[in-house]
Amino acid sequence: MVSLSNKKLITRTLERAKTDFLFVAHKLAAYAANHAVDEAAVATFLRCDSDGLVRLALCRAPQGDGFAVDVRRIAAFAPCDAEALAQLLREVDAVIALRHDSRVTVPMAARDRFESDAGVEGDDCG
Amino acid sequence: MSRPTDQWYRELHDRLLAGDPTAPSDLFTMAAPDLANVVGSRYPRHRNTDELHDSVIDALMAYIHRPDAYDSSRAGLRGYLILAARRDLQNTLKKRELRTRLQDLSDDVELQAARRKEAVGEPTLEDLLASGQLVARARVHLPDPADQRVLDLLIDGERRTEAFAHALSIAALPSEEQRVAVKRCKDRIKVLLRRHWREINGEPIE
Repeated sequence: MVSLSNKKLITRTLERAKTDFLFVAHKLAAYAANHAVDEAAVATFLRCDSDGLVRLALCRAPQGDGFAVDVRRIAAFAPCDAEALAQLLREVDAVIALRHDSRVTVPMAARDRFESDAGVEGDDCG
Repeated sequence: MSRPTDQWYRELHDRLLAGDPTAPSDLFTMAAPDLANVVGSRYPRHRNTDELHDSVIDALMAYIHRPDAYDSSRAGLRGYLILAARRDLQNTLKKRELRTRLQDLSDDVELQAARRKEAVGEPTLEDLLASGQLVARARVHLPDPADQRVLDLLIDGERRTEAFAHALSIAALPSEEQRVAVKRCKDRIKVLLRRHWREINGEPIE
């Protein structure tokens, strides 16, 4: 059972994680900024509650070849919607890449690749 | 809620090494409160402070970024993280103490100068001339005998312009020119006396 009793410590941890590329928190913050929405809206998009959003944010962000497997694992852990999470992560990565390199592929192409690789359905993994 | 067991820490380390993306989340939500509690018990004055929380977060962040830096054959993960957090907190507190001391020192210097000025006040010419030490120091910087004579007249309380004009050997000049020359000489001596007064009282010289 996860303890979220020490809110102050967790809040401070989340603030740190938002500034670190390693964590999902960084992607969630970037998504919220890109769409000009708050955390509650992000949670709604991902179909998870506030505690789930904290658990999700403190996960290591999926990387490389293991992207689809990581997304499934994180989505089951939080829990949240795996497809929505994959979409969010790919979009943020694409936007970040676009800002650094104008030759990068578009987000939808990344999402299509994820879906074909992993066979993720649009269901809730919780 | 009971703290995570040593077995839990061992398994978490294995999960992190295996690339489990959810391991950091478990570490932060379950181990961080445990570590903060242990470190806080050794530093009770800093329990629940940002400094203590940051020390725990720093220790966990460093470990998550480089889990292979931890040698499981040497110590348990929990002890390793507690030690790292304690060291981080000690360094933070030392730096803060040093900053406070430097600030106190700076405040002391400024306060002392302000108190000295308040206690002594800005001296009048009579006050300056009454100080034998000050006059002796000023004389060293007045090599011209005419200036020395003017200083003596000032000490004697002389106020007449013709007396100063005589001391400066300018009695033959028109009275207006005498007045200007006498005033210039008196002002120069006053500036000299005030400069030495500030030196003696430890104030910066303008």
